[in-house]
Amino acid sequence: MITNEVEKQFSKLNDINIREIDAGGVRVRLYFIECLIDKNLIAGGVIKPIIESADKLKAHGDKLDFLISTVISAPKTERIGASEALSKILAGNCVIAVEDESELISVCLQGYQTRGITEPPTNSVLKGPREGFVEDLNVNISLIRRRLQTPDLHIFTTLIGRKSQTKVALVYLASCVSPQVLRELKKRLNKIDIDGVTASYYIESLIRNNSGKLFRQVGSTEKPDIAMAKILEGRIAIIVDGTPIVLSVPYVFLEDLQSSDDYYMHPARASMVRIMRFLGLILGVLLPGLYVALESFHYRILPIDFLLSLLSSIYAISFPPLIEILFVLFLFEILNEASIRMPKYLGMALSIIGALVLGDEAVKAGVITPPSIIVVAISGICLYIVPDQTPIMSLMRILFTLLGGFAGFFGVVMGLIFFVGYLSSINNFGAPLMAPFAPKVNSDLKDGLIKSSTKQMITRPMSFPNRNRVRQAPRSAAQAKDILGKGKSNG
Amino acid sequence: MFRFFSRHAWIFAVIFLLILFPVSLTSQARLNNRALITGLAIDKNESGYVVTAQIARPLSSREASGESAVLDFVSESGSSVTECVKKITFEIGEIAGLSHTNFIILSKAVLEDNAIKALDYFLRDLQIPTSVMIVYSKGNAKDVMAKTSDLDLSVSLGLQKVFMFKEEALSTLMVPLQNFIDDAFNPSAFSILPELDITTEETSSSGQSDDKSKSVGKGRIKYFTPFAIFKNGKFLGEINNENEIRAFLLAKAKNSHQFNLVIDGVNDDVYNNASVGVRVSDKNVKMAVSLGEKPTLNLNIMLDKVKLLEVNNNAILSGAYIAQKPYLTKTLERAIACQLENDLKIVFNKTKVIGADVFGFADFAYKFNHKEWGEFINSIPNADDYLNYVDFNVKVEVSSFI
Amino acid sequence: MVSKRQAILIVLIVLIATKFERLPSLISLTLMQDGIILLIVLGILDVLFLGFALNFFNEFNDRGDLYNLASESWGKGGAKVLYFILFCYLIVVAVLPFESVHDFFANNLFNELNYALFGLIFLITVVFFANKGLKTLGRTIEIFSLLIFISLAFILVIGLMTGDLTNILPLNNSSFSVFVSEFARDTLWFGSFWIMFLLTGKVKLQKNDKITLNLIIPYAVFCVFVIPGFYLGFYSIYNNLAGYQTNAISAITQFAFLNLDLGRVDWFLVLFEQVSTIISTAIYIYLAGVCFCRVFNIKKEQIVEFIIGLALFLLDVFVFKEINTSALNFREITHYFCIFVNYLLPFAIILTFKRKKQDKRSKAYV
Repeated sequence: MITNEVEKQFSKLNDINIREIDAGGVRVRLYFIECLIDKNLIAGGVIKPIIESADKLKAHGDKLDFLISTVISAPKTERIGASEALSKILAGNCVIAVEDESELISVCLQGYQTRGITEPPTNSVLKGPREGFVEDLNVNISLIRRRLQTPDLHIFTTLIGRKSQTKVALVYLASCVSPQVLRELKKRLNKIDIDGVTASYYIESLIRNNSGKLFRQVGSTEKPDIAMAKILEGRIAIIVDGTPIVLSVPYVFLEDLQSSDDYYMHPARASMVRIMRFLGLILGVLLPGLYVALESFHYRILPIDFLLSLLSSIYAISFPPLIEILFVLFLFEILNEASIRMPKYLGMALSIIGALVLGDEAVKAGVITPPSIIVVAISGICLYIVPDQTPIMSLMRILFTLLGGFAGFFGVVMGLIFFVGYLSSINNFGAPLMAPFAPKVNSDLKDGLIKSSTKQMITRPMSFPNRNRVRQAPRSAAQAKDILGKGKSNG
Repeated sequence: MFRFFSRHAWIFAVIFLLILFPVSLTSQARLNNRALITGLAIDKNESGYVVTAQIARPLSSREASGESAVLDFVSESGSSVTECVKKITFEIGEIAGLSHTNFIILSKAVLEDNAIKALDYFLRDLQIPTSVMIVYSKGNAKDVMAKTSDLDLSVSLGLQKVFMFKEEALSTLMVPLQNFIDDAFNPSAFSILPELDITTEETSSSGQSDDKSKSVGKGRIKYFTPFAIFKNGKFLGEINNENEIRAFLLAKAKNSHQFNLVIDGVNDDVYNNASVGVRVSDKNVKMAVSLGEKPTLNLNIMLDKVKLLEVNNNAILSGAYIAQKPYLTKTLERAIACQLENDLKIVFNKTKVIGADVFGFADFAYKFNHKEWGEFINSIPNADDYLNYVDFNVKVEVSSFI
Repeated sequence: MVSKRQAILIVLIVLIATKFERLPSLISLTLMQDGIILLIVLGILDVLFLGFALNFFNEFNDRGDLYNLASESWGKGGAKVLYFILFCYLIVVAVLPFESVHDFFANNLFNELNYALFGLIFLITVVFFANKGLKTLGRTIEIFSLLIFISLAFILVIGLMTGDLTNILPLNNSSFSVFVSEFARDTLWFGSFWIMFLLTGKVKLQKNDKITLNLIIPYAVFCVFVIPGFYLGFYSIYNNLAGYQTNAISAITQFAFLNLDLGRVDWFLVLFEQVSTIISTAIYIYLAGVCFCRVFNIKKEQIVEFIIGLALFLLDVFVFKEINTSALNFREITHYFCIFVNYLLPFAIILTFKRKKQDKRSKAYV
């Protein structure tokens, strides 16, 4: 009997519910996990209709067909084999076995609790939409579907994780996405052989290239409007069930310097803000290293008045500047980490400890100097201008500090050249990481550090492979020429 | 093997860091261990030189009350400047940071011996910028250096900047080391140095708890100081007269903005021996050289946007004074021009006697009339005495008198 | 493969790499004011030979790289000889930027940095770039190029505004023999057009696209105006003492900010300009590695580039210890070789390489 086959699969599982219904002499068994289903839907859409149609069920030859087409009122039903039963039950479906039938019915009754749609904490805007993705795949897909109401929007779903069976959906515009990129992405996803995927970062780390391991090669966002914009540019959005972070490929470094706010304000203001972000990022990474280099090796650069003022601040400190800055960086990272993990009601206490103890008393005790606190504080604030890059850039910051302490400006400059060269060598999914700066793609620079108005952005980005260049009808001969392919790079 | 290195690159990176860390911590000269030498004074003695260093010692922010540093002076003697500087480093127990040295005082004895020889060390040591200012002192350079502690700290530490501002006001010339030595190698071989003279006024401060007043010295840099003139680095003499210095600076100073002139002896029917103050907003100096039968240096100075500031005379102030303003303008223009022309001629003639080509006749001729200059030099018996054959024409014009 | 823009930038960066450091003070020691004439003459020659190189490049770029072309015309043996000569030449010219970076950092910025440590850090960076190849070099140059050119422009303007420009007079004061002797010795710093020969076959161009005026014009501007203009600014400030300044580009800005009391913030501009020198070392090492591998049929270019970098580092540590005289000694030894490579070898290539009428598509060696 098919029920035996089904029940054999979950013999050791205690939380699968079995509900037997006698439908006019026909035994019908329902298998489900109570905490995963919508109880109202199973009661009103499955159990009650089956009971009510009990007398008609026996008469039908194809009972499964009768149940699917006439009885069950749940929106998604399908016939499955016994081997698929367990995975369907574990996914929040209700599996129905009818006596003497060789197949089963799977009814989608997912009704587990999910978080409501709120503004994402890592991406707030002044103007613009405030919806954010949630952990549920279907809700996330719905957020994108609502915004792209076109048959061109394709969704390819796959399961990753031997035990977790996590649903991963690829969302893209079929006419805009590059078939090679799509193929490559699917190939890399198929290669993943892992027991479970807890978050999208797992997928991100498993589909990236080996080169450029330290740096991001996959974009991410928590906002549907940003995801929509990326899809419209010809990228593929990767939605992972259980994570509100949606990934996107191909990825270029410039994406992290752009914010959704930039598209909801005047281009001049947006350009200014982007330049500030870029300079802030550079300052955040290089400032501690430059300070250590200046104090250790290159005091000659400083004018005498400032130098004396600096010296009077660092007068009594016995530690070398490198040790001092590393120590302050270490304290900063601890404070950072603690503020994330600490319970909210203890936040005030931590702020007091951080501000008074570190800021004031440590200076008075001669453990650290005021300039070092200023430098690390400015650097820390600057790094958070580009939150997506903050983790890796804080690491880079420490590296540059070490270089500055070991070899002064020479070390910092060499490190910077090395760093830029390393970033320039990274390609992923056909997109050079540093495009459109290197290789230079003129047409994409309209949305680079200097942002042009929406009227001028008539083509899709050429920094990564995509199709169907035209986004807007050209308004002038120059724009028409631009569409013909002048912005293309081959370096 | 390549694969081994690439797989275990992290080991090499760790070893590299382990080597670098202690090397960097021990080998670098920390700012705390560095003495900032902001000025040097060089005196001559029998055995060689005496070098005095002005060291700015920072005060800890806890003990500082207003000032961020105090000045300390360390002197050492040796047979050469290099030896003296080395001994100073030894004496102070810290690494001598010479890169913020902004002035060097040479005593007159050093000038009379060989100034360029004394400064050779500073030219070759790349630590010390060649933009460092050179001044001289009439007496002991060490004493003048000690008096810098009576000046405001910002003035002591930024003496070069002070001299640059004074140059703009045409009260002195800021001569960097580069220019002093470079000029000695030019065809005119003429170089110049201003004197540094600091006067100390005793001021008494009261208000102490025991009601005793203390006398504190307040230093001031003298406004007009003489200039020492050199040929081929050899000391020739001084220009002392205030008028002559002013006229000379008018011709020589490159960086000048607004400056004030006091013109004495303005004489006419109304203004009997009046002294007037004028402000000149701009000047334009043009030099021309003619080499022929009579080599002549022609100097044209145009003073622009001249404004009358003050008239100091015995004439009774009357309505006629204001009504005669155009008449005053003409009078002043003539008076200014005449006085400056006279002063410049005096400077030229005085320095001609000692062979100092103060206005750079030879430089100009060498640059712009190279061929004729060569012919001229070859035509005279002693090339060094070329100045004896040169006449001087100067014309001062005042335009746009406001 | 690199794009057209990247190729142009590579040539320009190599051009400006070492011209502003030791060269002006070396020239001023012998020629003084006439150094500007020498630089203009050398610059004009460089532009002329760049024209030849571009003519060659535009004709042969789609037919393969220089080695393949040499094999067709001179045979495999001839091609190997050519590449060996070029390997030696590239090693010789790679010494210059290596030395000048060390000189700048050791003499100008630093009071203490272990000589070996400097070289080691430099070695790691340039070998990394050489290993990564032309594409990464091209992209890195694209990122830094604007910064380098703007810094250079600022430095030039500052220099020209600070000095007395009449110090460059009188011109034409040196004897012809001294001029010719100095000309011969300074060819070591010129010859950047050779990069164009070596980039043949490695540049991805659109159909019927060529590199002509978009390289010649900036190249000529640099050679005939910027480099001599820099010398003019430098000499106008330092005049008779120009020879004492071992690093002209950091010396030229010395007097600019005196009255502002900003310290030496101009050194940041010089640091940015030095990036060109650092990257040009990597380019030379990469190209030298390619040449060497072609001669000896070695597949692993990365190892060869590492060895070349290491050799340069060891030369710097053990041979060129005395920075002040090493440039003088070095050019004494190498100038004949450089004259041959710069002014005779291009003619040999241009005149003897077979120009085929029909398009022969061969794979470019990357």
